[in-house]
Amino acid sequence: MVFSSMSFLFFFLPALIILYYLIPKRLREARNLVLLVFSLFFYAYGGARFLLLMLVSIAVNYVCGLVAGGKHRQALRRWGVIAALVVGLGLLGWYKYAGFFAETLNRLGTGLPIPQVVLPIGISFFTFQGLSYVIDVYRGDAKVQRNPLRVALYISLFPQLVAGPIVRYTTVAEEIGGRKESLPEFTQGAVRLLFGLAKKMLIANAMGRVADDIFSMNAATLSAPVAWLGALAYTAQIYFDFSAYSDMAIGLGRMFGFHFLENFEYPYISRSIREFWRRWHISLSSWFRDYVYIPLGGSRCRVPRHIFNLFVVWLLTGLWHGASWNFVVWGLWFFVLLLGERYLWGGLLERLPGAARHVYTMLLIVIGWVFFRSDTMGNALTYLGAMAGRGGSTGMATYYLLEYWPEWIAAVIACLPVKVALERALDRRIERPGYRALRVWGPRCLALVLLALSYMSLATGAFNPFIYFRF
Amino acid sequence: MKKKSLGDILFAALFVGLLLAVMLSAVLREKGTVSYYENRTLAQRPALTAAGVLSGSYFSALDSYLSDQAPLRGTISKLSTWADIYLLCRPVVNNIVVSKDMLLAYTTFEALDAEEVTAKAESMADSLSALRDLVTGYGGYFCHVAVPGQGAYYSDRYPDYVNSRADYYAVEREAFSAAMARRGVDLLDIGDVFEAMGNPEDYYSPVDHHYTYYGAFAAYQAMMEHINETTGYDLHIYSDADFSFEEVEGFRYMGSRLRPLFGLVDLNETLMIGAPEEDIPFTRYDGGVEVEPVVFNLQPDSMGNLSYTIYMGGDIPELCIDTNRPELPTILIYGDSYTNAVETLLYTGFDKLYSIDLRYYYELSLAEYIAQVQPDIVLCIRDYSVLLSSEGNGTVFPN
Repeated sequence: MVFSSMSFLFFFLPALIILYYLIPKRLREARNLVLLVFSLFFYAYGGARFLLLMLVSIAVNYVCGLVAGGKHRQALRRWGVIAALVVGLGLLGWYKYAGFFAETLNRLGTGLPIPQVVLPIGISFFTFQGLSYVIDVYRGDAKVQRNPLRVALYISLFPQLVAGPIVRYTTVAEEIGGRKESLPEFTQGAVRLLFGLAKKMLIANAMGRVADDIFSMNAATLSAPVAWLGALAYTAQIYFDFSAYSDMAIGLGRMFGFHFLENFEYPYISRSIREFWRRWHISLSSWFRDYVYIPLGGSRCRVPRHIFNLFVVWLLTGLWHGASWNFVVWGLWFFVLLLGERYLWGGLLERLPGAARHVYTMLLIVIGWVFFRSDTMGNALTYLGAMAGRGGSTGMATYYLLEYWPEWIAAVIACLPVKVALERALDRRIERPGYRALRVWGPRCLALVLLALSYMSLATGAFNPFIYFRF
Repeated sequence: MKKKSLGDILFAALFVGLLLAVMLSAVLREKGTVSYYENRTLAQRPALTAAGVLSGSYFSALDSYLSDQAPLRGTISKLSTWADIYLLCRPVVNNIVVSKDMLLAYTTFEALDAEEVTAKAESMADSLSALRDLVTGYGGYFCHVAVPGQGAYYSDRYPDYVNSRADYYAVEREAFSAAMARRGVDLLDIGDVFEAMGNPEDYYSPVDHHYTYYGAFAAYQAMMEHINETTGYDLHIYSDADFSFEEVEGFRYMGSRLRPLFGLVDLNETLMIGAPEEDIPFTRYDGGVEVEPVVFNLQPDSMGNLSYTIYMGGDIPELCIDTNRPELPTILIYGDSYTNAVETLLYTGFDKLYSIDLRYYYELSLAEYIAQVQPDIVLCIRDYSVLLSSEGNGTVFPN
């Protein structure tokens, strides 16, 4: 099930809201049970056959959590973590990477059979969440959760189940047992949900149509303007698609009393690749930082070791996104850039004007997205060649600009922290007549207008993919 | 914790109320079966099966059903189309290139692979050559007629930044013509005929992908002249002197380019019909069943409009018009909808006119049908956009 669908918005969500809030606040476990049941249904909607995998993941992490976090010998506790890692990563490895590795080994002449495995939705997300619980419990950052339903709720909670953000157990541990739902929180959550929905329906989908059109063409025939438009469209699509989902997840969580951490902080205003990764998919980058990079030694080691640590993190980051060499190259692309900023040109970069740094950063990010989006490495390189003017003379750049001009403008504006600037401007004038009402009602009225526009798009459109569903 | 305010209560009530209102409306309202302006059937509630639930296909179908049956979908679609055309001024709306005097089909850009086009042309010519041999084997005559579609005819009316397919059509016509000539298969390109006449403006519709009745009449004349020249028959060819045109008044022409735009563009074309001065009585059989002997169906559709289906009643899988004049030859016409308008004219020159549309006719293959009927003349009429396609009416010899 996707958030931007009739079934979720107008059936699942109102049914959940009514059932959930009919239960008195004091019956916390009953409310949790309703959330759990709805979350499992949400996951089963995409194919009930994968529900078993989800339940296995929950069971394994629950048991391993008991072992890892209990008052046992250190060795036994460590085995709890290892077991969780082996099973969790093993399942992830099989479902997501078995085919990729078999194909890669076959290119070396091994002749292995290539397993045809269907990728369960959201496996990367819920695997990492489960592991986060066991590791946090082992480290003592969180208490063991003896109630299996609460562990199940944490892992399967529908707002972030299939496309993140990756919610650390420590973030929601207390809220699972003792959150305080309130009408102001519900309202703010709903407003956030509707803004996210609009980002998805009104901007991401349109940019996706442009990107899909252009990337489906033979890259060698593309003129430079068209190739650039395609790359920029994808740059917009992936941001608005993914951040929209995070907005909706955060909003939905808030409606039910959960406070997830932000996952995006206007990444396209970054002035270095380092800054970009502090603003982009924050939950993933921080997960790798805390569970891979720092345990390996982070940057508090000698240079060769640091380089190795960075290499491992970015190799895994690329692989996490997909079982394809394109994603590996994409991850290593950022490895090289981060290495460069750290040890080679970082100082020079700092001395450049802000605009130049921004152009530098965006150029490198867009190039990275070409690797990410292309079907094969060959296509990616040909596409980049077209961007550099070595393609053909395919026109239609004007078409894509004229046809989607409202969406291009909206995308540029929405990339910038306009909302933040507006809120600050209104806050400074809050005592003046009318500004308080505008500050309070402006976002709400806009949210309802965006709901109407999103509904229009939903009712009339058939193009509604969620690209992060394959992770 | 923040204190709740009246504003919070109002917003929450409005938000949840709207969600519930849509839910109830979606459940309670009567479901539609057809979308007139999209010209397609709407998804119906899927059957609940264990296999469907396990695989997720049931829910996927359910989502399609809910989207298709969304409350106010029709009104919203119309409003959205109006906004796209008049507010946002998008050049392409609902896959139609919109200008103030012409509505054309939008095609995504495609890199022209001349070698691939040539190979397809050779392959199609091979099939048609075999068909020609089949027809001439019993003493018949075969001719393939290539007709420009509206997009090809008005390719110069596309904006520069949209794909007009002009390059593709040029390569296609040349390759097909050469391939057919090498195999000695008779080909009549109506595009050449119209170009020689200066591409008259009133030959093609500004709101539909077909020719107008004037264009169909000119094509009919060209076909009959070609048949007479090639076969030696002396078939009567109607002209302005003994054929009268008549406007169909009182109805809007909801052409195939206008319909996706909900008729919101102010382009009105009058549909034309016609009749020879001297009436030619006939019996008509659709699928072997005798039907009303008319070639024009002036029954308006559910929205009170008329469309290109007034010609012959639309795409009929198989029909026969018997004029009971055994001194004249028989003709079989097969092809897509461009056959319909010319059939209203061609029947006048033959004893029997047979027509099949292989997109909908499955009883016999084309070769089997020809072998059974053995028409004196076999005419294939296809437009440039499907000229080299081996599907539908390009399936000369299945398997």
